[in-house]
Amino acid sequence: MRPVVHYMMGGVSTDIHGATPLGGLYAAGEVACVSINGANRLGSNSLPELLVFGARAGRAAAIYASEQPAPSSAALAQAMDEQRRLEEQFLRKPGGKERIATIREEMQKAVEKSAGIYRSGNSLAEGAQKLRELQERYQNIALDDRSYTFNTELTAALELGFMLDVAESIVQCALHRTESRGAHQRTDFPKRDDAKFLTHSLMYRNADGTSRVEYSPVKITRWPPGERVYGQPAQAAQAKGG
Amino acid sequence: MAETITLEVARYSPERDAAPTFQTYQVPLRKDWVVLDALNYIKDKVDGSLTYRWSCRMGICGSCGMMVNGEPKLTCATFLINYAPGPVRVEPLRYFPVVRDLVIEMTDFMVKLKNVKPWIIRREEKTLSEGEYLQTPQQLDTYKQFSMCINCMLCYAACPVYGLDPLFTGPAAIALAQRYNLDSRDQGAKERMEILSQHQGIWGCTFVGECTEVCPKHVDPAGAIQQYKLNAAKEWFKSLLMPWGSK
Repeated sequence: MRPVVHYMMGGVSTDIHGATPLGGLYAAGEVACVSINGANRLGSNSLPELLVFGARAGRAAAIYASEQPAPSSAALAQAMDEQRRLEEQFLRKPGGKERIATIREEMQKAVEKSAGIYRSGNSLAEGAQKLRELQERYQNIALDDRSYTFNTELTAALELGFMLDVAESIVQCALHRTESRGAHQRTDFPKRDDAKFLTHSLMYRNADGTSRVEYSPVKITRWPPGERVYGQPAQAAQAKGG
Repeated sequence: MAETITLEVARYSPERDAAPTFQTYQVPLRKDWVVLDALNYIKDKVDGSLTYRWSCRMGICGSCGMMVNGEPKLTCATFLINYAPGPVRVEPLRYFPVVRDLVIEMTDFMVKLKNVKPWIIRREEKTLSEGEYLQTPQQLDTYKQFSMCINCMLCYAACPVYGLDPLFTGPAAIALAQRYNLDSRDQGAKERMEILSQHQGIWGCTFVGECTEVCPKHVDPAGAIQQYKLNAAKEWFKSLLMPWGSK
């Protein structure tokens, strides 16, 4: 038996209509972060979440799409450029010697080891270092499949690139968050620190390829953050009327 | 136990080949490995161009159906060791056009599925304030078995009638129509009957029963089709005897 990752509280930042800051991009379900779960999702909340916000995002996306003019020639040219880039970087790329599956497996092991159930500054710094190495090696991957028909190796390569970005976000946000809260447990910072970290972490890619973490405040409506305690401490809290 | 087993995998690329061929791979024979593990081993370590569908690895998504030694199987639930010493022949699902290697074109099934309206049909929706549509455990039991279908299409690959007559609606779509007909919240049975009582709907079935045999979720499409035939016949007699009847 071993623990596995079952759910991600983070994701693509959306409003309550599933809209992301990028016009026309909508997200719902586990890929999205509507921020209704706080730092630890309660059991059974993810299915209702995707039913409610999936319907909302679908409706909002349909309305948005129906209100847009036809894409400009500049946008179409941009799409063509992107297609050409993908062909050059993957399908027609000469050389390359890294296998997708090898990098993917090393990434999985690195993230589990550095940002698994318990994290520390040391483990996260090591993970960040390993991910930088994998990002570099990812540039050197080789595809066996050069076909334009149902090319699942191409989708696997694209997914791996996205996963490396997500892994970097997880590790960097955890590294910068020097406290423990919900599912984020730092052995070197075991206490919650509302003064500094009652915030959402937002991850950005800089123009030079590096990344940065920014913060936006958490809006508390009904439920202020509190400690979840069990056994004797829980009884004591109840006796105090807490 | 031998350390490896041979897989003979159907390969086909429309850009390159006139007809499918078989390619042979040696894979480790581990007792906890299913056929899908062997395919993933090949794709990850040996040949990244091998093309097949898969997703959940736990018999829920219904996307990894293939022919294994001539039988339709979910490859995530089919252990390699059962085929030792091998070889194990892996082919795309029978009776469907092949897109590439082990990937089939499923549009025909998707169209048929949508045709039978596999959703709850209400003449009038209750308002939110009127509350939920309640159902007793007994009412749930009447259709629950049919609701286990995961749309894996193994039953189509097993159905000789579908092989001969591609217009036949086929086992899973009929079972799913019945899943909604039997649901106490549904009022769409008549609409579905109009679609299904046409010649290629249900009457094509000669009750071979292979669909029920191969179903990995123990749905009984053959049973659903027989129930349906009976209902359709009853409706036909009723319309003959009472042409003025509205139902």
